[in-house]
Amino acid sequence: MAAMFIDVEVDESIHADAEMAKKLEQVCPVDIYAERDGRVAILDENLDECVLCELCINAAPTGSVRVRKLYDGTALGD
Amino acid sequence: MSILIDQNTTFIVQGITGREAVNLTRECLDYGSRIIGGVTPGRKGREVHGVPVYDSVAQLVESVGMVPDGSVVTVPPTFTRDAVFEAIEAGVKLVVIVTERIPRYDVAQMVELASLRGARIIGPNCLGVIRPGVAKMGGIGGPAKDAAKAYQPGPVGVMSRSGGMTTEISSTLTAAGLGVSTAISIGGDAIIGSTYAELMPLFEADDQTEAIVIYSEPGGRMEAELARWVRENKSRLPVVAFMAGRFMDEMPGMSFGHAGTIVEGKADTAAEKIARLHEAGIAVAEEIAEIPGLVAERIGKVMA
Repeated sequence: MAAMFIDVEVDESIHADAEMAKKLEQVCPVDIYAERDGRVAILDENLDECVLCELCINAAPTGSVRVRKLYDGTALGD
Repeated sequence: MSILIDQNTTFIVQGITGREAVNLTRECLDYGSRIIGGVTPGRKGREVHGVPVYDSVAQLVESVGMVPDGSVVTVPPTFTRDAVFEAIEAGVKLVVIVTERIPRYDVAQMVELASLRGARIIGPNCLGVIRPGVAKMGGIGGPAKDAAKAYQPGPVGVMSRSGGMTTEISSTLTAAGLGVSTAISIGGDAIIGSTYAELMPLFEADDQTEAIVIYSEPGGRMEAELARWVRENKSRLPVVAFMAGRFMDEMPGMSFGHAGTIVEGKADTAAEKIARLHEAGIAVAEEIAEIPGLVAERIGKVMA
C-alpha cells in the first residue's frame, strides 16, 4: 500500500553512500530507512509512521533528504 | 452490565495515520465502534476513513468538547510513553496499547501513572478488547466480517496473553454454540497494564459472564496471582485454562513467541503453573478443542 501522508526523497548524491545509509537507519525512530547493499533504502511500509522529527534531515548533508507532507504539499528539508 | 466497553464507549486512536492504525480504524468503524477522533502530531486537519485527525489529545478534547472514554495507542515504541501520558493526563480512563517493543521502564512508568490517575491500561503488545456484536477497541478479530464470525455473544469471558489465540479460543467457543461475553487480549509482554487477576473482578460483576477461559504461557507470575485470586475471593466463575509451551519444560533455553515468556525460575514453568491452577480448582485443557466441553460441563450448558 502506498503511503497516504508522507513521502521521503533522498538525493542521488547520498543514495550510494553506505555510511550515510547506516546513519539514517540508526537515527530514524520509526525505521523508514535501511542500509541495503551499501545503498539507502526507503521502507515504504513505514513512511506513514513518520513523526516529522527531522533527525534524518539533520543527519544528512543540507538539502539531500526531504520529507514531503502529501497532505498539504509542503516539505521539510527544502 | 458490560466490561470495559459498550455501545456508548467513545475512543480515539493515537498514531492514527500509521499503516496499522489506518487498518485498525477501518475495522473498528465497520464493527460499529465509536471513534471520535485520531491524533498524530503534525497531521491536524486530515481525516482517516472520515475520522478527524488532531495534533494532540488536548486539542482533540477541546475540539470535540468531550473527553473520550478510551484510546487505542499505536504510536512507535519510542513515543508510546509520551502518548499514553498525554491520554491519561487528558482524563482518558481506558488505554489500549497495541505497540510492541516498548522498553520495560517506560511501561512501568505508564502503569504507575495510570494507577495514580485511576485509569486502566490494557497491553502493551496486545490486540485490544471486543464485546461481540457491540464494539471492539483495537485490531482484535481483524476485519469486521471476520470478527463477527469468530465472536458471537455468549456467556464466556476470554483473557489471553496472545492476540491471535484470543480469537482462536473465541472462535472455538462460538463454533461450539457457547459464545463470548467479552474477550481481552491482555498483551504478551513481561509488564502489562492489566493481569488476569486484575480483570477478574470486572468479569465477576458482569451478569452476562458465567465462565472464564484464559490462554497462558510459561514465564511470569500471572497464573499464580490468578489462582490466588480465585481461591481467596471464592469466585462464582468457573475458570478453564489452556497452557501453551509445555515443551519448554523439557527444552531449557528454548524461546517462545512473546517477550513475557521468559522463564526465570521454577515457579515460571508450565508444569508449576498447571499445578497451581489445579490447586485453585481451575481446569486445564490439554488441547484447544477441549475448552468448550470443559466450559459447558461447568456451567451446565449443552453444546451445539
